[in-house]
Amino acid sequence: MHPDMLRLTDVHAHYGAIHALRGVSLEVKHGEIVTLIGANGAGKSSTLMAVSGLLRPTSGRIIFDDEDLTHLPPHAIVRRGISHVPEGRRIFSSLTVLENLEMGAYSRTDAAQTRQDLDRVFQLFPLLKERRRQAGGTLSGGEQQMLAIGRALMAHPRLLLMDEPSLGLAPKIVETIFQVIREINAQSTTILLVEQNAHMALRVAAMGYVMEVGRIVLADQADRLIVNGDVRSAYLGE
Amino acid sequence: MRPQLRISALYRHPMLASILAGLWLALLSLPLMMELDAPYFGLERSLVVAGIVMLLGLMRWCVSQWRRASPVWMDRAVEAGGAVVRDAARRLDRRILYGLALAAAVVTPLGLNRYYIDVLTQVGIYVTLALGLNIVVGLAGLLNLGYIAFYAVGAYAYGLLATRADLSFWAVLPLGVVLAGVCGVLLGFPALRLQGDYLAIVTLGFGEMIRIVLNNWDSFTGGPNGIIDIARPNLFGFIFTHPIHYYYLILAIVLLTIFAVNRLNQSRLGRAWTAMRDDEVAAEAMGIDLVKTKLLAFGLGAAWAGLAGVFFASKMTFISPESFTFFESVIVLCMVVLGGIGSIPGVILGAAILMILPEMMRQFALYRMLIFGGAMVGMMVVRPKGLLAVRRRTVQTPRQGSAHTASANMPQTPPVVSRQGGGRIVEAPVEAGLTLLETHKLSVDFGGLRALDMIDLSVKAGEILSLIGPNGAGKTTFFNCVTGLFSPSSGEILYRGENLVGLRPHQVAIKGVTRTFQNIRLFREMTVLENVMVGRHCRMRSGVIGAILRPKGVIGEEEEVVAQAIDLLRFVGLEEKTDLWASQLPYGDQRRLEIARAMASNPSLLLLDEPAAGMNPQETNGLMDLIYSIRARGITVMLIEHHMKVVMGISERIVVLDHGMKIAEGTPEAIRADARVIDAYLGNAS
Repeated sequence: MHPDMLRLTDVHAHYGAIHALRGVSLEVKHGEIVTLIGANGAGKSSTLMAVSGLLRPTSGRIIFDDEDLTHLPPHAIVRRGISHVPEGRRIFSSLTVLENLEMGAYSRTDAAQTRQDLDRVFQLFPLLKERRRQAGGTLSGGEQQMLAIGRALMAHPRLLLMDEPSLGLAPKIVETIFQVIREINAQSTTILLVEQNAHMALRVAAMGYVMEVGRIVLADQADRLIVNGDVRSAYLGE
Repeated sequence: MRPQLRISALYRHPMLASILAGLWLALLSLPLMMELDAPYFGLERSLVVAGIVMLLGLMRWCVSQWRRASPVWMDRAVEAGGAVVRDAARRLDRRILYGLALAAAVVTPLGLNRYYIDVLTQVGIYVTLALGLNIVVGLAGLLNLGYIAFYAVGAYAYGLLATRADLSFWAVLPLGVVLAGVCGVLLGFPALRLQGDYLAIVTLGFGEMIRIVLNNWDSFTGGPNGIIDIARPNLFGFIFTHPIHYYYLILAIVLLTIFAVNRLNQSRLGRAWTAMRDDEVAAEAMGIDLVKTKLLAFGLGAAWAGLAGVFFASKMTFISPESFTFFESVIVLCMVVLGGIGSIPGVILGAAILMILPEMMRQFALYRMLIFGGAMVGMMVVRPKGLLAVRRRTVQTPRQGSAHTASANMPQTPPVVSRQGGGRIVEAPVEAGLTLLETHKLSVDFGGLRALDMIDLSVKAGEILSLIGPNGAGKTTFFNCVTGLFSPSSGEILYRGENLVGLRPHQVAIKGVTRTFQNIRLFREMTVLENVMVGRHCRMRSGVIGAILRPKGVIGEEEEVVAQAIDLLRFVGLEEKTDLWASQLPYGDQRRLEIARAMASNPSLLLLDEPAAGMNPQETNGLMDLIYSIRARGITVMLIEHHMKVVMGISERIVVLDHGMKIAEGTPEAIRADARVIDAYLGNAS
C-alpha cells in the first residue's frame, strides 16, 4: 500500500469567477494528523470541501488509497471512507441526537459494526448518550460540536476531515475536543484538520501545511512549524 | 456493494439520463399524441419529443464535459472573454437598447391586425400584473397566490363606479389603484406573522374569497353575469374604440410601471425588502420595521394590479368573476418565476412568452396545454432561476483613485481612528460614568428551562465589557433580550433609564443598541456596501414617493449614506471588497462586515457576539485593535467571546454566566483567579 492515504495534486477550484484553490498539492499519510493553517479566505475549508466532493475541482487530481476521487459525488466519497465535520457544525437541528448519529451511518448496511460504532461514539461523548432523545438544535454549542464529530464517526471513516472544531467553544470544551481528536486518531483514524487555533492544531498534528491565497506556501513537520519565525508572526499572533 | 454503485453511477450519467428521460416522455405522451388515421399513427410525434429532450441532455452534457475538462488557461481565457463581452455590453449604452425596444413597442402594432394588437394589449396587462407581483414575490420574498384578487378589485371598482356613479375612467384610475393598495395592506395584516407555505395558503384563500363574493353578491356585483356596458375611456372627447388606442394606453401604463418598480428596487425601500427576504431577524435588528416594510410590499404590489384591473374593465366593457380565477394568479406567478424572479426584463419576457406562445399554438388545439406545460417544465429545468436571472442591480462604489490603497494578501491591522481623514461619522462624546445599560432581575424561561436567572448587570458608557461562560450559559440569550428578539419572562432592561422590555428589535436599534450575530447573519444576496447601507436604514428618511420621484434630497441622502458606508468599510479594513457579494467573503471578513453594518446607525452600545470566532491569531490581534478604535469613536462595546486572549486583553470588566446565573464579575485578573470560573469555564488551559 502506498504510504500516502490521501494525495492532492495541483488541485484548482472556483466559486463562480473566484479562483479559490490555485494548485493545491498535499499528502496525508496513514494514521497521521495533518493540519492546514492560514488566514481567512486562504482556501483551507475549500480544500476540505474538494476532498469530500462538496466543491468540484476544476482541475487536478485527488487520490485516496489509489482511487481517483476527483469526479465522485459526495455520498460516494463517504462510502469510500472519508467523513467531513463541517465548519459551523451543521447538525440536523430538528432531529434527535440519536437520529443525527443514525444519519451519519445512512449509507451503511453492516448493522453489527454500526452498533459498535454507536457505542464508540457514546464512549467518546457520554453526554450524547444522556441526551440522545433531545432535539439536536437544543444542544449547546460544545455539545453540537461533539454531535457533529460523532455523526461523522458513525460512517466509520478511515479519514476524518475536521473544519474548525473549536469554533465558538469555551476554552474548557476546546481542551476536551482536542483530547477527543487525539483519541480518535489513536483508534487508527487519519485526520486532516483545519483550525484557526493554530497553537492547538500544531500541537496535536504530525504535519502542517500553511496556506495563502489558495496555495500551499509552506509544508513541514508540525513541531518545526511551531517554532518557525514567519509562522509565529503571521499565524500565531506573536 | 460495488456493482450496485456502478449501476447507479451509470444511471446518473447525464447522457444516459437524458436518453432515459426522452424515452419516458415519449411513452407518456404516446396516448395523447397517437392518432389512428394519421400516417404512422402519429407515433413519430412522440419520437420527435423524445429526440428533442435527448438532444438537450446531450448538449448539457457536452457543455459540462467541456467545462470540467478545461485546463486553467482555458478558464482564464473564458473569464477574459467574458470580461470583454461584459465590458462591451457595459459600454454600449443601455439607453440605446431601451430606446430600440421602446421604438419597436411603439411601431410594431401599426402593421398588425386587430387580433394581434389585442394579444399585445393583453401582454401589456399581464406585464403590469407580473411587475406588481414581482414586488411582493421577487423583491420582498412573500409568496402571494391570491394576487389576482387585487386585479378584480381594480376591475370591479371601475365597473361599479362607471355604471352606477357615472365616474369617468380617469377618475377611477387612481381610485382603483388606492383601493387595491388598501386591500393589499388589509390582507397583509393577518399574513404578517406567516411565511412561506402558510403565507401562500392564506393568500390563496383570500383570492378565492374575493372571487366567491363577486360571484354571489348578485345585487351588488351582478353575480356570475358580471357587469356589462362599462363606459370606454374618454379623453377630452376622444373615445377609445379601436384596439390600438388601448394598446398605447397600456404601453404608457407599462412604462410607468417599469419606471416606478425600477426606482423602488434601487431605493432604501428596495434594499429593505431584499434584506428582509435574505434574513428577517438580521433586518429587524438593523432597524428595519418589518410590519411597515411588509405591508408596503403588499400594498404597492396590489396597487399595480388595481391599475391593470381598471384598464381591463375599460377595455372589455364587460367583467365577470370568471376572469379572476385562481388559475390567473398562477399564470401571473409563472410569468414572474419563468422570467426570472426579481428581474424586470425577465418578468416582461416571461409575461410575453406566456401570453404569446399559447396564441401561436392554437393550431395544435388539443395538445396546446400539454406542449405549453412541457415547455414550462423544460425551461425551468434548463434555467432554474428563470430566463433572465439577473441579480438585482446594486449600488456601486463611486470609483475614486484616492480612496483605494494598495491591497495586501496578509491580514492587515485595520487603521486606527486617528488615521480617518474627514471622519464623516459623527463621534459621540463618551459620557463617562453614565450607566448606559442596566438589567434588574432579568429572567428568561424556555418551557421548563431557565435560560437566564435573575441577572443584574450594568454597562457603563465608554467601557469594554466581556460576557463569558460555558456554551449554553445564556450569553446569547442575554443579547437577544436586550435587542428585543426575545422578551424576558420577568425583570427589566433599562437603557439610559428607559425600559427596553416590550420594544421590537428595530425600535431598540433606533434607540442606539445594535449587534452582531454568533452565526453570522449577513444579507447574502446583497453587496458588502449595501449590507452596510441597510444598517443605516433606520436613520434615513426617504419613503415611497421619494423613491419613485427621486428628488434632490433623496439623491443627496443616498450619496451621503454611500460615503458613510465606504468610510465604515475602510474603518474595518474591507474597502477593497465593497462590490463583492457578502456571501463571497471569507468567514473573518464576514465578521468584520457585520461589525461595520452594526455601526452604520451610529449606535451608542454595540453588542458583539463572538467576533473572534473563525479568526486566526493574527486576525484576532487586528480585531482587538478594531475594538479599541470602535471605543475611541465613543461607542460602548459589550462582547461575548471565548478567545481568552481577546477577553483578558481588552476587557475592563468581565461578567461570567453559568447555567443562566451570574457566577462572577470583576477585572480580568480577578476572573482569571476565580476558582468557580476556572472550574466552570476556563479549565486548566489558562
